Amino acid sequence: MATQTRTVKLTVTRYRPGQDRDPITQSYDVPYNEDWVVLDALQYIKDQEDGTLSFRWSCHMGICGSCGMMINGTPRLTCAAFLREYYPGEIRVEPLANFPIIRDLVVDIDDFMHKLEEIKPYIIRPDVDSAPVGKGNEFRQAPEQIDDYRQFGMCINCMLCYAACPVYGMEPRFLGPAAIALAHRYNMDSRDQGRDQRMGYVGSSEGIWECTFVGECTVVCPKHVDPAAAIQRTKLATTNDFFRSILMPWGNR
Amino acid sequence: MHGESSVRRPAGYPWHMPAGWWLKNGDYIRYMIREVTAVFAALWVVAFLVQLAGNGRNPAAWAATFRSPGWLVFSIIALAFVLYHAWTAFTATGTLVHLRMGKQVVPSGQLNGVMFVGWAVATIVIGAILLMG
Repeated sequence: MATQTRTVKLTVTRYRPGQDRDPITQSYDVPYNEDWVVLDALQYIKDQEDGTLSFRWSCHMGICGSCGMMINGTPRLTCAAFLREYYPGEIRVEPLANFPIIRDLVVDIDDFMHKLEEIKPYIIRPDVDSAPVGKGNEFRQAPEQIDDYRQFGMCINCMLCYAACPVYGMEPRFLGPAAIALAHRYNMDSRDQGRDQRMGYVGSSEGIWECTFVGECTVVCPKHVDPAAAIQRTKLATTNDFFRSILMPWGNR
Repeated sequence: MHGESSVRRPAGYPWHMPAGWWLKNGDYIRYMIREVTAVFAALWVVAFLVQLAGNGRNPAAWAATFRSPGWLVFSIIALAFVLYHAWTAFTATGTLVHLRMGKQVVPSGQLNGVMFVGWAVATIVIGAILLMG
């Protein structure tokens, strides 16, 4: 019974286009439950206190990547941030940093979606595009070949890395951590032949060379992907390509 | 091309990066320190090259400059910063390099260690050349 009477204070960013000139904050007292995550508290507010509060969520289990927000200034999945981590302190919930706010805690992710599309995050095999894959022409991989890219394929596109990246915050043209990590994932895949198609954008000044290796993208990733490593390794590979093309212009990459 | 609908919603409330973003957490502060220490390395090299260029014109003044307390203090500060910057660079080697030996990936700690060993060897060799020269 005692746990039901305890409350935790959530201070939430509100921005209602046409009503608010600038984002404001609004505080709510929410019942404290040790098993609740911040997303539960937001759902309590929406169900019981203020149905106009807007936020994204879907799976509630750290898979879909929809519910990323700034919690006390740090980008986190609200479905993976327990109230007990902050209790009895106040919890400040803000929309993901570095993105335009559409409404309340909902940000505009169009920029990321376009970038994701541009890096072609799928296996490209021009030689078999028109041929059905079946017995005899499947592409086998050894476990160590899978290990080369496996961790970069764990990305759930939650965009926490973009919210943590000051480079993206200052220069939105930057391709950004998750998109580059996914490009690296496919470039490292032994079945893929699309590296040249990706590197035009990935290897440009708006791609890997914009990154100054802050490394916070890796710190905040809820799936333990290392986008900072993907970016630096791509820089190294691109540099190798450049010198090879000068020293051995007759050779392949 | 990207949108299914021809109706585009209004632009959201724009993001403005606060000037003090780098004070938000320890990682950002350490990043800024890392970057600033590189500036000192560059300043020292530029100052050294400028003085080196003056060597032919006035060797005595050049030698006096190198022995001045100001240059000594600046060099010690720059050395500390360069050592810190080198440490951050060498400890990042394992992140930068993905090296597979046969079926095994070389652990990042070993790659970092190789860099530090190389650093030590280079220091000893250069030091020996300078002392013997």
